[in-house]
Amino acid sequence: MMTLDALLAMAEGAVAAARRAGAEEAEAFACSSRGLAAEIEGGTLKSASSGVETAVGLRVLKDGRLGRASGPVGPPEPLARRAIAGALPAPEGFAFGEGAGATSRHEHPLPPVDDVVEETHRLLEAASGDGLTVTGGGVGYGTSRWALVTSRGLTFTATETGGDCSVGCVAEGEVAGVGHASAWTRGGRLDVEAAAHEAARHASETRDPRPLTDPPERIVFHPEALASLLGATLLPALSGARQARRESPLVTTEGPLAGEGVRAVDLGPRAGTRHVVDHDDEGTPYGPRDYLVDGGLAGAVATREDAVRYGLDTVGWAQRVHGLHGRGPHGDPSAGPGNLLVDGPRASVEEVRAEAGRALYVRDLIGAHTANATTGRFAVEATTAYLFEDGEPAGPVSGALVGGTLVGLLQGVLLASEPEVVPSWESPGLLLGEVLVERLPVTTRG
Amino acid sequence: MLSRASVEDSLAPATYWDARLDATTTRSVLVRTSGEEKVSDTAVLGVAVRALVDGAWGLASTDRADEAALAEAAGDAVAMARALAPRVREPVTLTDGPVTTGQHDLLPKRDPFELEPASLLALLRETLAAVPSRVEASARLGLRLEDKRVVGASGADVASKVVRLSCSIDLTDKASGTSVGRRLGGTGGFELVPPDVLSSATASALVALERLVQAKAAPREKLPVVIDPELTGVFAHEAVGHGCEADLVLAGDSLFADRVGERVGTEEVTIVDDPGRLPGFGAFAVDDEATLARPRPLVERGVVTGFIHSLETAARLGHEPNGGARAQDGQSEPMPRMSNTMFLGGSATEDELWEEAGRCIHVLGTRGGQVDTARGTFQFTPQEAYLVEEGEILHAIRGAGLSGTVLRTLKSVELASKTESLGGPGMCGKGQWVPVGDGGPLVLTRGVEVG
Repeated sequence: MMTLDALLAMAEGAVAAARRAGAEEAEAFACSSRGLAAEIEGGTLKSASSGVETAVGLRVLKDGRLGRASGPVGPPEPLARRAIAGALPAPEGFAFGEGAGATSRHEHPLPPVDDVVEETHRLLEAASGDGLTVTGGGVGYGTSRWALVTSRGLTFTATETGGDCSVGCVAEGEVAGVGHASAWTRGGRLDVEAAAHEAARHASETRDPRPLTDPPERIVFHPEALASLLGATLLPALSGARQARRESPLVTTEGPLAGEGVRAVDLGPRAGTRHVVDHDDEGTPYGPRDYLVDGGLAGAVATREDAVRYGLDTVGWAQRVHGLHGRGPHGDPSAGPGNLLVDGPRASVEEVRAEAGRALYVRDLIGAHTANATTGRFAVEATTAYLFEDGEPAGPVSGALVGGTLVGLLQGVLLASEPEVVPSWESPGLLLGEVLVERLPVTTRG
Repeated sequence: MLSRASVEDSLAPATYWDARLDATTTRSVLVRTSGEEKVSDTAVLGVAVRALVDGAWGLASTDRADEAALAEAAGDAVAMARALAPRVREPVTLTDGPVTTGQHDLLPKRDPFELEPASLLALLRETLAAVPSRVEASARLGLRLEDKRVVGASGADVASKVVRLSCSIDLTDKASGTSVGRRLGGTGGFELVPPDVLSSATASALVALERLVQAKAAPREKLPVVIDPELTGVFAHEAVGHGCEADLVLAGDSLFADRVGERVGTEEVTIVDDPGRLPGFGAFAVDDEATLARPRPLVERGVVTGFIHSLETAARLGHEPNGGARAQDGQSEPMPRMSNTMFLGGSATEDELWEEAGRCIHVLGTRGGQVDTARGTFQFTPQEAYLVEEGEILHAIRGAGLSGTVLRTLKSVELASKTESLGGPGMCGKGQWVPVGDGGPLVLTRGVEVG
């Protein structure tokens, strides 16, 4: 894995090569990642792996044209030639980042492979039990380092380390019970037992579900279930470029976009969350901002290019793909919130459930990624779900279908419990609690 | 570069090993009617070395293909396996690997990467030329060259180059936000998407968009459903194909686990996963373990017939390897994956099928789908849905989603039209992303919910 100094030199070399090839301006992003993981499959530890990847992404401006290319470690001249060859007219006013150098370091030592194997073994053991099979899962840790250099004098370097685990179980039954859970850490060690016990509990409790026959009018979403739904609907809807093109339900829907007290805000960099680094991958300082407040749209996210193209603010989280397991800086930066908190009128978990009365509790769902990002319309099936009666669990149910729109969901939020980081390396990171929603249609499979 | 000599000394403790170099080059081109245009090139190199030591798998990957890096990765793979071995409950025994050699390419007559970016942009601009100003439109082109080499313990030394091309056209009605899209392409080059085909796709999408803007709610009555070839293919992939991936079968995560030889569908249901089905987007000649690829019948006339295998899953189930191991890139381990999953044609003419369907819901295209493989429930979202009577469209249906259970749906396939066709290109995610194709005939069923 490359040092930050070596990455900086690599990025500077790519910028210099672009200038020699005729570019007036250039920006290079060099990234090196190392990952370490162990996997479970079919009730046994399956494999252990390690990997390292270093690559560089280059953008150039020549004669008012913007080009981009990325590639592995090697001479920078071919990369510069490819970027220039594909250059197209840039939006007027576009420029790479400028300013003084900065660094943001959040690196921790990776655990030794024996520790990773031991944690995976504990994950497996804790999720195994009478009638339970651990179908898959694993433990992984990784570190990324990156360096951004522009011909306008900006240099930014950063490091981050994290880990995650996931586990899936099935429980024997006439209809199998299914449970999934995951955990996440930023710099520390994983609580694998907590994830294992949660997955095992859901698998055991959801075996032989009864078909849902009388759909309730309220839903309580587990944070991970809601995260998958919002990831497919709210995140694209916050794109300033999509809003400018009227490809977001947040600009094509009349009236209030959310219920009273509902907000979607970016917390900015924060310890223990997905985004701890204080500049984005274009070198733009990253801080808190509002997206949805008091039922109205308060902001959007945009890359530098989209900002000048559509007349938007540049502040957002423009991210190239880098992460724990050797992904490189390929493609264009894409914009999204960093640490997105979606919140409603606050209550404790107990109060959320008590207020729910008779409700569908959705732990896992399938189909979220089939949502229509342009309209926010979705249709999903709650695959791990319970019926709540008088706020108390009243057994697992099957065949519960939830359909609606993003705005309908946000308008129906009644209460939300204390938000937590949803365990995922997806970007943006989401912070959610258990959320009680009404008026979101639940139907049943006949 | 990768050779047997560069890794085999370090891999001496392994009872089985393989090393795979994957150099993938992509070019993506975007044109929007709003004026935005982009061309982006990427090149990704990785070498994954895998070692089986004391019944445990170790994998190490590197981003360099020089002798020192390869030897280091080989040593790391052995170290990873040794670290895992004491904790493995069921040691893997795999001593015989493939002995395949040679070059196994799937290349078009003309390399699409030879075309200048300006030509690609012009093609996409022309594709959107007929789009009216009330519609926001984008066209994307993706070119992909996969250049791989695999060397293995038993003497395998294979190389392959595969070129794939995908094109998507997406339209959004600015006033209502209603959207619709088209996907074209496959394994090959521009012969798959000549300009007239692209223009026709845009024209067809515009017609669909006009209908969808006027869409109404789904009827409350329970109606039969006629699924178009593209969505039938997605059904075959999601509802059947994933459950027939042998790693999920072995993991206890498939409803097909104990059903080989069992009837699970009607006589109209025959599904095969075929890496040789050209120009399907998931085609390949040799898999990422150096096994020659071949068709894999999954369901024949309603009866489960087999699974998609890696070397390990084939050994554990006592089946023949069938070239189904694929990896996302040179950092990842191969696992059983689909290629081109086809629901083959059935017994009916299209006229017979429509006559039998009567008043029905016709669903077309796909926005994707997902399946719970253990319990066999699925959820798909079509691009378009229509209420149809006597073969005539009455109106579009707003926001339709399909859900059901796999077995009930397979057992309720009443008719399949005689000829199947490939749908558009897709990327399948199972922790790793790989290119896939799928397709089928028109299918009439009463076993799915549309809502």
